[in-house]
Amino acid sequence: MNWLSRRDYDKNNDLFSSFRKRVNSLFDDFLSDSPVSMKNFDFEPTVDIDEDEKNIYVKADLPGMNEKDIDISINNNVLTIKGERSEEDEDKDKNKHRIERRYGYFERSFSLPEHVVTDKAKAKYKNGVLKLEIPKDEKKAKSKKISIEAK
Amino acid sequence: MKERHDIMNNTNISKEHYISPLCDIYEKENDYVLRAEIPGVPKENLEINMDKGILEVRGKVEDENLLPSIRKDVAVIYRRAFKVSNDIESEKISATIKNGVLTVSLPKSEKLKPRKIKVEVS
Repeated sequence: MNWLSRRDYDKNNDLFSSFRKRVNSLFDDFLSDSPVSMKNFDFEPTVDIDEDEKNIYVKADLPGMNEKDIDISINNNVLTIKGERSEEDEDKDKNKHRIERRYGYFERSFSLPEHVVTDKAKAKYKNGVLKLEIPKDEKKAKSKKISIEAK
Repeated sequence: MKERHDIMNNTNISKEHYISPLCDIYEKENDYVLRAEIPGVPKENLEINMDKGILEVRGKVEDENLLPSIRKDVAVIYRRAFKVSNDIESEKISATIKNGVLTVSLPKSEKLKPRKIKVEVS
């Protein structure tokens, strides 16, 4: 199983990540149908992923959003969470002392293992946390035993 | 108060993990507004204290918002303190929480508020 999203890869390496962004922008035009989109984004929400026997759990911190502004899709076993967060209207023309929170477009993608039932995935947004539950297909998940024929 | 104290010091939890929440601070005509990101903290787990000019915000993330494999061992707590200037009416501080964002309103004291000065004709 591979939980590393393409974007997470070399996330800690600024030199490579800026290089990668530039390469990605070159490919943007003719790779627009790619399951992992390579658009520019303003921030990346923190995401935790976990699993047990039955489900895969994905949790994303997305405080200060409305459900309708969060878009979740699974395409070719790639899970994508994207959306846009904007400042509260009443804050826009205020005298700003400190802005640490991030606003704008975000997107994160993760490749899922083969044996998930994507139709039965469930999502909940509460207290600023998005929680996804993706059930596993138990039949597919079982490991196959291969017997060796004796000659 | 005692109940809250118990939430924060649950003996079953072996590790406390503290996070400093990201904050925006705005100034309005009559008050300062602080917005802090505390995703996963329900209203009842939140504690806001004002003591000796220090405003402390503390909120424990609800267990169901932690991943199943870690929720037994770890408590995640958002915590941050701010020094508040003397020109704030500390008795009138109010707070609301919505979708994981805490908003604290700190009203300016009367003498700081902008006011018009009437010119009297002598």
